[in-house]
Amino acid sequence: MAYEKDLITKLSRLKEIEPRNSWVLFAKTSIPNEANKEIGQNPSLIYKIGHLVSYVRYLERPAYIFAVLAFVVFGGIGYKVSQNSLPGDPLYSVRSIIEKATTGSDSSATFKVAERRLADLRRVVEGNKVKNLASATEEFNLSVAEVSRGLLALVENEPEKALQASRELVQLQKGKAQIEQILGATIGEEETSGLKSATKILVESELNDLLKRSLTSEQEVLLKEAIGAYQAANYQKALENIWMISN
Amino acid sequence: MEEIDQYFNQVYDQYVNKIYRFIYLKVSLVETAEDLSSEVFLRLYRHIQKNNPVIENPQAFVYQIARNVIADHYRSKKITVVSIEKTTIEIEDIQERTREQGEVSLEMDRIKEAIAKLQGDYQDLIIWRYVDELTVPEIAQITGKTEENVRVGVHRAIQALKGKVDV
Repeated sequence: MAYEKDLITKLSRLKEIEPRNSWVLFAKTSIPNEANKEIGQNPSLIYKIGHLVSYVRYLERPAYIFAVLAFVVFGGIGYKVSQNSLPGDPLYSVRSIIEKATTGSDSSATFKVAERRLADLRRVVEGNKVKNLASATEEFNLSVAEVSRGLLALVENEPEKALQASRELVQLQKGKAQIEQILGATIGEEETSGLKSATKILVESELNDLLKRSLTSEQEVLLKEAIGAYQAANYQKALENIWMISN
Repeated sequence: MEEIDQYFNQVYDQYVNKIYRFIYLKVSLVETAEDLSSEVFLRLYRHIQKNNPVIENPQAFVYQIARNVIADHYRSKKITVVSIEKTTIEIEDIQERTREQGEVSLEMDRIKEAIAKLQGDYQDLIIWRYVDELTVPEIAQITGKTEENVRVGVHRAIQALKGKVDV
């Protein structure tokens, strides 16, 4: 009987088992949000913060701390080194993966990628890094092909955004021309031709739009010049005039 | 909506520790106990959303959900037999966690180990009667048994536990 009493006393001490405070708070805020999410309501800011805080529990174990620290330190070093890599370098694939993961897939993103590839190519040319030249050129050509496709899709589906994109396009073409001047050669003839076709379609679309609008006499003059530039296949000049009319 | 949240918070605050403890003593793992406890209160919240927020006996209700959640957990895991080897690993795991968290002494681990070896119904009765210190009528409300049956069950459960602690 005394033994039974002792056992019961010990059992009552199991009351000391309590959940972690962080979990109690997290569950309290996340459960209503989880239930509401199922019926189509968005989680609140408190839930989002609570969710982030909940990850702190993984830091309670030393093994996790070392793993996380190792990941942060080596990952950080790897990330930093890969960011300075150029096409043709061993770590370039890491940079490429990170870029793909952090850059969207819309037309604005394709321009950003092309600008980066152009910057890479400029570094290669200016630094006279011969071993990287072929890879850098190939990467740039691929990005230009993407820009051409993106531009055509933009003219077709979102013409209002196409004019804005054309500014980035002209910058890209200017940058390319500068590098070609340094190299003394044309980069990616096929891709350049594709880009030119896409630009032509963009200019046509913008000119057709302007012809339907009522313009001031000053704008009429600019439009005539733009049409002349278009007929002379000087699409860059045509675009510059279109911008002036649109502003 | 506000009324639902208010009522849920009230029940949650009152029973979260008990439900967690009840589940932890049966599953012996902190992470699993947390996940299953969350599931209990999620089911409670859904019930409150669908029905009248006021539950006649919230304690009996949440314990009943907890029993169902644990049963679902074991069913999904298809655990039918716990081998001696597995039990040893679990005990070691419990001891490790206990040392880490400083929650209870090693003596308490022996008791927890013994509870874990009991059959499900006896585990419930021991936890309710002697850990959470529920009254016999309260246990009768949870289980749906008569008070007499509960008394007999509790007596048998404590005898069974003595046998496991002595081993």
